[in-house]
Amino acid sequence: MYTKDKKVGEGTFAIVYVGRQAETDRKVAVKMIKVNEFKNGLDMTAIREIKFLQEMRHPNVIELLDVFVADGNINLVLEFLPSDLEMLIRDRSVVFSEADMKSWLLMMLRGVHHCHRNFVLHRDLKPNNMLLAPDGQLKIADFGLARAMALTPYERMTPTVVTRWYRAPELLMGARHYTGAVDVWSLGIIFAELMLRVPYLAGQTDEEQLEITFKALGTPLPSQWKGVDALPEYRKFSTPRHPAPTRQQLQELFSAASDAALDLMCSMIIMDPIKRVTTDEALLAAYFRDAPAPTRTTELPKKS
Amino acid sequence: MGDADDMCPICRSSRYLNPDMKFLVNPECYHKMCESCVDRIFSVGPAPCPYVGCGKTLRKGRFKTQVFDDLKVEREVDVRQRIVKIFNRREDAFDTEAEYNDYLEEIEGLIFAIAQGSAAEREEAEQRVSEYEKLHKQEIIQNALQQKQDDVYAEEQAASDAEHQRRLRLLAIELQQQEAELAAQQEKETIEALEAGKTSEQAVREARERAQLRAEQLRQQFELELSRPRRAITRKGAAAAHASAARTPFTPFVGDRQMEYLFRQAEEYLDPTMERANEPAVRAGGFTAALAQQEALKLAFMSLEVDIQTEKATAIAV
Repeated sequence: MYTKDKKVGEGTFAIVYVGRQAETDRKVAVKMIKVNEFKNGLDMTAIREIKFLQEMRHPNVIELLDVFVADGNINLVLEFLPSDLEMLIRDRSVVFSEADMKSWLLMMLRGVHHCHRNFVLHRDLKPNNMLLAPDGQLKIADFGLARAMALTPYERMTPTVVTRWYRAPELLMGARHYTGAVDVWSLGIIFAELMLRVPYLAGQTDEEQLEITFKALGTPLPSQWKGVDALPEYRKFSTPRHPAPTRQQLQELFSAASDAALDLMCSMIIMDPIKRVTTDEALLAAYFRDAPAPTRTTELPKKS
Repeated sequence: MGDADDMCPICRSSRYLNPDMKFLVNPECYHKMCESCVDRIFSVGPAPCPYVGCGKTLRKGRFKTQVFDDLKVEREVDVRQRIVKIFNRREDAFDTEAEYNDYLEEIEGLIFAIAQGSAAEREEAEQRVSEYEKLHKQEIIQNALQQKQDDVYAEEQAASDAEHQRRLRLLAIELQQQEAELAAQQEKETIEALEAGKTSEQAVREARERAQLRAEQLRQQFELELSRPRRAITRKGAAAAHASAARTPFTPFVGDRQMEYLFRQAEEYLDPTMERANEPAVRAGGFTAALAQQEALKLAFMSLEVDIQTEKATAIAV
């Protein structure tokens, strides 16, 4: 049994309430999917959310506690998580230390690693979807765009996924056969945003996004990224060519970043998805072993 | 004050002709000149120092009034300001007082070398400073912020202390006044009671009791104000930093990673479904046959090695 106490938000497909689990008095979020209004069936994002969250249990992935039907509506009972990483990044009064950023990136990578080893692509990683529990744990949420990894080259996936600023270049160029590397790219961009405190690559349109990505990281050549010229949208944006940034330029932009931090970030945003690190490799990076040790979750900065 | 002090060495105008004349120096070379010369020479942009044989490029924004007569002192103060901004580690970041003192000594050494050392010493010290600054960028920003917060806090503390003292003083005055009033009232009430025909003993006792009660109330209020807890300064000590350093060793996966699989993946499989993987557009998206085949193998072998009996026995209670 659950109680709905307060409405906290409403989207096109769902209304979110804060409630409590009756027997444990645990605070929960109840997401009510509006079914009645849709003649053509249940909203896809709800199905995805139920499908993938039911499969996964991990400290860094939001927990789906229950699904029930009431009055013809589907209700998802999720952990109640009061804040998200975006709120913290925008809150200028909160100072991040290197150890804090390390701790957050670590939790994000662990969560995404868990998704990938269960053959789930999240496809919408952004600070907004990194929810923060009161005890400081970071939890990946919103599996509305998630899908299972493609196992054959005949499965075609849509490239219009991931919020634009966090979209990998292969998606921007219309690739239909992509991998977990798209999620790693998003995490790399979020890592950059943690350091800069402003979105790293903020394009207004899809075309501009590709232009900005290339401007920041250099236009990829077929010699560096095999087959890139075969991607549907390649030709359109390949001129003028931008040079790749030198290490010094990156160091100037990310002035507070250590060498190991910059190494890891660069390896997560390599243009060629095959050369990009996987979550396994990223977790084994020297950055996490170097001092300072990641901040304990309970000691991480919180929204003031 | 001699003539030299009152004459600008550049334009030769003297205080006699211009009583408002002000002298400025630039920390680049500390050559003195009057304000109007600075305006005249440096308004358009950086220019070389007009002193013969100096030639250092100076900027108008850096000119300042000389505070100390002795240039050596002036120079040292400038250097100190700059260095202390970079070497701003706070006392509570050190474990022992000795370490903190060593740090302070290092700062003094650098200041001395830059302000008064030989060219070589100065060069070396400057290099050390810029190295330190580069290495501790994040820490410096944080320390500065922390210091600012502490300053604000100390200011608040001082303001609240002053307010507390002021209230105490006011209360003390009030107490005195009321005590005098009470004495007068007691006398008045005694007379009234006597007029009403009560016996003198009874009237005096009642009035005294009432007066005592009121006085007691006042005193209580005073004592309450006196004992009101004032905010104490809390500091994150080195001890706390120590405590967080000694903890379980770091593991990237928290022990939650499958390292070995029951299968060994071959380099290549006869797999007609993967022929399309060689198409450039498929490859460019990151798709490779090896990766897909690895996933398929993992899926096929998933949980085959799980022995439910042992798993049950060692299961963690959820």
